[in-house]
Amino acid sequence: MRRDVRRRLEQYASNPRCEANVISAVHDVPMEAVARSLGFEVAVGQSPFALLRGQQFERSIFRDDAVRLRRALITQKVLPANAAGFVDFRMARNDGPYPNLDASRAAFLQRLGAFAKTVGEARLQLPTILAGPTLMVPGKAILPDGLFAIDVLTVHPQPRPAPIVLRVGEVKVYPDRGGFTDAAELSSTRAQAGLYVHALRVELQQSKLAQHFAVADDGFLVLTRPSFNLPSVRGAEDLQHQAERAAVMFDRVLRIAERTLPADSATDDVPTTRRQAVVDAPKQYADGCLAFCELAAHCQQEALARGLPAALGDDLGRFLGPITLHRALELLHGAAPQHDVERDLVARIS
Amino acid sequence: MSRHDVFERLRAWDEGGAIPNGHTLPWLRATAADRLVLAFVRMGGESSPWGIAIGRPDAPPEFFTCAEPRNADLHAAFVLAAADALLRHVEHPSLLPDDERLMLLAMEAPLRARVRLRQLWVPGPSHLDMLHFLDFRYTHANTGEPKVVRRLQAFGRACGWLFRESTRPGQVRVFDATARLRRAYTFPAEPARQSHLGYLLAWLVPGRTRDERLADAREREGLPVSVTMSPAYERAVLEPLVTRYNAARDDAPAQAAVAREIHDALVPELRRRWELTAQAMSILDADTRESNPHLDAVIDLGSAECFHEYWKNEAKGLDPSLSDEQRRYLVHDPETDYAPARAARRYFAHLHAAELAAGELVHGDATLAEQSLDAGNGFRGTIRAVEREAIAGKKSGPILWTIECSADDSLRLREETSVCLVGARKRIGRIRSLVTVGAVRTVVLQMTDGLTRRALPDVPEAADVAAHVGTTVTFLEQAAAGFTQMKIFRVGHTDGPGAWLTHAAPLPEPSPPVRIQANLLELVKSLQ
Repeated sequence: MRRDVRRRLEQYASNPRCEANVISAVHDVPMEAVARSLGFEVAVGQSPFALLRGQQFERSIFRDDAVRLRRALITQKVLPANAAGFVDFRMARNDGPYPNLDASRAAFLQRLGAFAKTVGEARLQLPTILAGPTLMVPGKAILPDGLFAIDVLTVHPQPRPAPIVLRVGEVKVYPDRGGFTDAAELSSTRAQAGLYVHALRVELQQSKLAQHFAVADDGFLVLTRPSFNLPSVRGAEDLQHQAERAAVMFDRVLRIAERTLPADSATDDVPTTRRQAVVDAPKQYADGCLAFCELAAHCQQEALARGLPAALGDDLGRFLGPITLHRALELLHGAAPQHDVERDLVARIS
Repeated sequence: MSRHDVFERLRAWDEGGAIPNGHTLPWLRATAADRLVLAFVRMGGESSPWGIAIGRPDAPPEFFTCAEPRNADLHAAFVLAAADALLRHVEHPSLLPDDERLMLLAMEAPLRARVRLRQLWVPGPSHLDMLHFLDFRYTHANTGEPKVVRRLQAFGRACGWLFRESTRPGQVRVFDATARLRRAYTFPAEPARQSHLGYLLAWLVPGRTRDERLADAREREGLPVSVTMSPAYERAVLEPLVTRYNAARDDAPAQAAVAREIHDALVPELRRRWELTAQAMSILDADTRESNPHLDAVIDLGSAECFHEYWKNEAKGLDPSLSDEQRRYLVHDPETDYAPARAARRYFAHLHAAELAAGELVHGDATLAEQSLDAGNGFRGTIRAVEREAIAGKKSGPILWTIECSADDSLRLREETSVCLVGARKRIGRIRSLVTVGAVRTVVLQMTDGLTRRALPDVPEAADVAAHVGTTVTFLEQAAAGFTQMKIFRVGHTDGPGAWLTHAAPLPEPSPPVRIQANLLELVKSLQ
């Protein structure tokens, strides 16, 4: 199983109404393997150039005690002008000091414990940027014990007895073009940051540190300046509702995770029995599936064959309700409606 | 997405292919000389082009590529090579002789006539975004030989203006081929899939069944048309080439050979995007529907925008007596409007453009009129009475039309709203009263304009009872485009409301400091 569950959570959030997708995400049965097992051609992977650029960008903002990032955060008033201090919790493969997520999490919690004990001037001089701290997924919702690293946290100490405020930041490599920035990208980035806000609150609760810290309802996004390798920070992003949505999502994931699936494999191969569980699960095709699921084309074909109106768009699905495409066409050609729902549709299309 | 769109998609599925949307097309067909087709590809993760295909639709395109787009100097050289075609298309003043430029600057009309029908076609929205990225990258270019820097800056500004123009409602200068196809036809596919140009074109192939078109569309969907290439292609073909190119940095001939290989690998990707765009354009040109007959005002507004928002400043900027600082104020910054009043002006300019396009085109297309009625922006009914209101002491009062409509139709208009008659738009009335009894809504209109044969020679006079009573008429809300246009100019006045906060100069004197008083009662007394 992949213990870094960030991608799986994103997959889950992309279509939580589709049971096959939920099982795939929660029980870590990659859709790619399912699609291949069904004989579909799967085009996977990211652009090697884009991956490299992402890594370079992240390294560049955290280099030299995160000087570039700090400057941008101060300019956007996320941090005060005198902010200083940087602690790196990233893994070695991302230029950090820790060999794995467990070590990163242990160090993060230890550091938070130390922060909580500080008083006086020392408390006001805590390091203000934390890179890549790792959290455990609340309630072990993602089996067996999901871990993921958030991109960046800022620390805003206040004199006792006020709690130390932690603010979540999400780093993305897409360009910030002001009002022209891709709205879908922004929305998904905010959703991801909201998820981290919720997870961090639960982690603090579980670690009995909640009384010393407050996680801010707002966060910040770190994007790139178009055509330059410099950060562009969007501060004061309200994440309150995204965090609430994440809480609901986790609750649902927890319930789904309680269902057992056939045993894991010791190797990277996904056992047939686990793949079959996804194949057999009910699927709910939606417009958004195209963007993330390797089974999308297959599901759309199935939905069309069954006459499910959502195969031609979520809005058509809402327009026709329980009436199939085949029946809708019959009604369009003058067939007599059989019940109230059909009569209503005929009234709307005539 | 309106109910109408959803229903039309169901009809398209029934027909097994794309079906026409509307009775007319909201743009003019231009000649090949007035058109330029442009397509980009980019390196994954980068926000600047890796290759550009550019050319008139009646000739093969030119292909420009850059072996290593992350190298700023190489990228600038590649962009410079491609810049001329675009600058020629926008009639950049630096390409004109001095006397001609000065004449065009002094007399607005000839330049506006020259660019009136110029059209830039790109495959889809990501290609438009690339224009914006080029604006970001080159408008403020500042290193290199001055002549080269000036040309790069001009290219950046041209891209920036074209990008901004593409966002102006109703504009007919920058054409996103995918969006135009979706505007012209309804496709039997979910909206998310309709962002692929190849996918849409497959639904337009004549003489096929639905299943054949669907299979073709799915196959075409596998080939990317946005600026991003397939990761598999990048991994298998381009990444090894770029690695070899960078490894050969000390061996110029070897590096040039690899650069040619990179060029050869990018050309098919560019060619496909360019040809799909040209194909979409041809299909739209061959459509049997006419262009909307009320496009003149929309096109005139476009040529005025071109002159005032782009060309005039470009021409002024070439004046050698200007300092760099003075020139700076002629340039639109890709990141900011600087002054709030300038941002407000553009907001009202866009609002005006939207109102003008909606108000004009609705009279040239029955489908648009129906959609407007569906949205509650007007009413259709039968004229039951035509009379003159009796006003004491006056020889003749205003003409009143009493119209009965169905109360089931949606209507968002209220009393005092001005409406115009579809088919005779100069005939304008103001809603006096709206009364609904049972299934009938009665509208009383006070007719205000276009009452006589002099105003509308082909229509009976407004007071002609016999000609009107019993006929069915459609009225739509009168577009108030002129009102918004007035705001475009007024928002810049330094004595208008709020100007003290944004752009009035000098700023007003601050209020004198008030002594702090602990006693509130004393404070109130001192204010009296």
